[in-house]
Amino acid sequence: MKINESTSWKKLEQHYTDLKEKELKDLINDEKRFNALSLQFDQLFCDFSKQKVTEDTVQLLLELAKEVRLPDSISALMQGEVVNTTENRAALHTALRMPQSASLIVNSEDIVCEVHNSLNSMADLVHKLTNGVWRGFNGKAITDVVNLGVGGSDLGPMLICDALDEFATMPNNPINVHFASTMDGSQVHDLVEFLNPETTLFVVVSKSFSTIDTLSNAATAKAWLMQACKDEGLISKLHFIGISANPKKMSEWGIALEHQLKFWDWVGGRFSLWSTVGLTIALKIGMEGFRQMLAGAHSLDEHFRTSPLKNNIPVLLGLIGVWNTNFMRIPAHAILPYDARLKYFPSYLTQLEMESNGKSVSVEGEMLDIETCPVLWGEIGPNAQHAFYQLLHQGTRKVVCDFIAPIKRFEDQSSELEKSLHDQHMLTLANCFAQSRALMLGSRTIDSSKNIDRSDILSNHKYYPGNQPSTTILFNRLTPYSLGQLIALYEHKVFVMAHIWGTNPFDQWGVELGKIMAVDTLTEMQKNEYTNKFDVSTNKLINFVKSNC
Amino acid sequence: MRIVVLGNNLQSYVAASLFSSVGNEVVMPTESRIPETVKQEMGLIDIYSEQLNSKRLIAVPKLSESGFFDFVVVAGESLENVGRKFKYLFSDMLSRESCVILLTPTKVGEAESFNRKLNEQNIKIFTCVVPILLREGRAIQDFTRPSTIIVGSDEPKAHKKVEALFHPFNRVKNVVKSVSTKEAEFAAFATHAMLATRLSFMNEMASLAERSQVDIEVVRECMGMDPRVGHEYLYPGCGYGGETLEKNVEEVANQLRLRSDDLGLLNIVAKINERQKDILFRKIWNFFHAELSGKRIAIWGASFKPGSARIEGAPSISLISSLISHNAQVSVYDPLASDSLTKFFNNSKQVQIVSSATKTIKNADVLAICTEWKEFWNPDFELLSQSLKYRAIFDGRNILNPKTVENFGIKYFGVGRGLII
Repeated sequence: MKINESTSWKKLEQHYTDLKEKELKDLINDEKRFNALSLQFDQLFCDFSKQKVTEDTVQLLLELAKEVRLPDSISALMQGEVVNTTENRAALHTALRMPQSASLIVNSEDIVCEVHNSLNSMADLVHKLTNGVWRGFNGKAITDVVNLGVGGSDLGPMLICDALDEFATMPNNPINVHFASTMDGSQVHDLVEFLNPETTLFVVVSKSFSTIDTLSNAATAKAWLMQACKDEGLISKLHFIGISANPKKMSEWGIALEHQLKFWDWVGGRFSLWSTVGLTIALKIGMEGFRQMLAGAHSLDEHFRTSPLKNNIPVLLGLIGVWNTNFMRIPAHAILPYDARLKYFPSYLTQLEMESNGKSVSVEGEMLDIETCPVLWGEIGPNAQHAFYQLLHQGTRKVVCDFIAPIKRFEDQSSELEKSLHDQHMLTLANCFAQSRALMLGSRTIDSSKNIDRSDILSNHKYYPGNQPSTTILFNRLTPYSLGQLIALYEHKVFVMAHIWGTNPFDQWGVELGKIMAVDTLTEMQKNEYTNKFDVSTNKLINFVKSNC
Repeated sequence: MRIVVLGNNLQSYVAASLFSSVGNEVVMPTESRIPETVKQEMGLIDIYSEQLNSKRLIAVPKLSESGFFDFVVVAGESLENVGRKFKYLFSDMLSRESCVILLTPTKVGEAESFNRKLNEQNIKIFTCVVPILLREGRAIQDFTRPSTIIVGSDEPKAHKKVEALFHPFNRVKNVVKSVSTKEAEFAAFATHAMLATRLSFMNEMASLAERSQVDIEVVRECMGMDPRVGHEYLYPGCGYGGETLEKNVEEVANQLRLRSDDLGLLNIVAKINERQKDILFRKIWNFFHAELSGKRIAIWGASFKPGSARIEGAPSISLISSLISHNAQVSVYDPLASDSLTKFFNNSKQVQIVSSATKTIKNADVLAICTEWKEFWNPDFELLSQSLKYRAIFDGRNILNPKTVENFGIKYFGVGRGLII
């Protein structure tokens, strides 16, 4: 049965009809609403009271979850069942953060044991690099590590390394980490301009070890290194680490066996930062910091696995996401962290949500006749206020927003500098709360005494319709542990939404076609003569480049 | 004169023994054991025992001596501890003319602030600074025939008193220079910073000489002949070590960093030194094409300088640590530092500490020299040629003649001389 033919879906449609004439401002004055629609778990606090939902909506959404047997599905995910049906494998990113004392037997093998063995191999490399033991071709200690990866092999490690800069194990740790992902070579070019080949190591991260973006960057990196040392064997052995689920390809490329870190095909790229793919994270914040991040995510996993649906934060976040997409029909979702340390979080979620849930086919292979993933984007909130908030406040499109902020920041106030920074944090929080309130209430936020003067020629321009729903997510402090929780929260939210829609969030067939076509395109571009192999538009573009190259 | 000496290090034992040897009455509280550096300092224990027998030097477990002291000589004891002792013990034992003499300043301005604190407690004395340079292995000579005695005091009366105390050691020509306490402290730190800078500068020149195929030793001799430069502290090598020099350079670097226009000269000096400590490892690494696993490296000398048993900050420690982290085996000999090495490497199976230079080279692949002990200057090259499997010597102190070594079919890699690798 299609989901939109289920009883609970129908009830929700009816409920929406009853609710649609109401505006958020009409719902908000219920005193009990905040307590009923906000949840806390450990470091995280989630407030849904600015969503256009009532307690009845939540009840109906929970009925929907039960009707599609969400708890069974969560259990199947965590137990390592084949939830990624199109690729016939499990999706066990939750196993990557299980403690060493735990056990999870899948296909007669203890996955947790394997995971910790690979973490130990990673810890060994981290120790060698951060203690100056790892030497380059002429014996100098490595000081710079460049992560070459794209998508999940780049966004997660980059987000965390940037966000947790304050937790870097400097000054005793001599390693600086850098990232390069783009196939155009610009990022690698910029890095090699200032890095020293004697002391630079590249980490080539690719699940298949055939990602052209990453391998082309790795080839450029090797060419650069070989300008300084002609011995390719020495360069491959001392200046490259490979991280992949394909050891054979790593060996073929020249990565020394002892410098290969493995992960498994049951780890999706966009869920892989918890595995050896997180090497650069551990290089930056130390293995202890990395393990704290895993512990944070694991605590959220346990919350997701064991909490009743009504108290389960990722479940509610996902269900309300479905409500906004399918009933409220809001096509866009903005991620707005009010903390500059989370500047890469919107990009990270862009991949996590849209690559997972940008689907139009059900698990059974049927075309869907419901909407799925909204268009997701974002920016550091205070900066976005000076960019696209105009559209949020007065545009014609409905957008749902996630406001994300730490409660505590710049706590020490013993100097004027620290006091000033603390004041800035309070100013930021005030802006966060003011914006979500303005989006909810619109012009009503202004005192009634200052109500719009209809005789003013600009009155319409100054009108704010409001009624834009949002979720506010607060966490105590930004730490490896709390960031682990925050990311795991969104991972599970994505899973919940996919389950309701009946889609597979763990494949990404949509990214293949363009890659295949690029191979033929490149062949045509490398020929001297003009092409007429493709459509007119593409032929003309290729030929235009040829005539202007 | 009546003197009490506080501290438990080489300086305190030298000061107590030698002040006593020239007729002063000296009391020295000896709460802890005699340190190894004192035992190993040539002739010091003999003088110390002699003075104890003469009864001019009295070693007491705790200070309870009655009567007045003219001087309280502080060497190596923290001023916080000394301050406490003043509060509970000394205030009754000092006259208004007594002087405190700090032999090892740890900060610029500490004498002045110490004096102020005592004055606030109504203890009226003069705090002076006499930063005497005592080199391990030459400590008695350095104390009895100093090239300079800088007397730092903020009180003219105290200058005279301290000069009188050092009079027996100021015989050949007057080497006393009277300055303020801050100037004396500053001069002590600036001297260390200057010496470290000279060494690091020479190491930069050595690196350049190597690439220019010039022998740095020849360059060093030429430079030293210029009276504006002089010969001292011009020796390139595998880095300086020792607690005091490194700590004092860091202290001045920290002070400089507080200035808004610091360009980081002393940070670079320290960085160059860290790099030099790695230089022998890098040469060995390149020699073996980055494959050190199972190689056996003989090492001559481990202490931070000849005549000392101390290995704190010594280049040998960096070298051995790096070698064993790459699974090499090390066989090391040092005339004095065996115990410190055993303690430091905690009986690592990869580090064999042996009792002679000859024993290190048995089954060794190559030899590295880290400390310029005299016994390494003229080794049995025939034996080295037969023993070293890869016939190569990495001379971190440039004590061997490259041509002599090469005549025995041994490859020679020095610092700024010899083969380039």
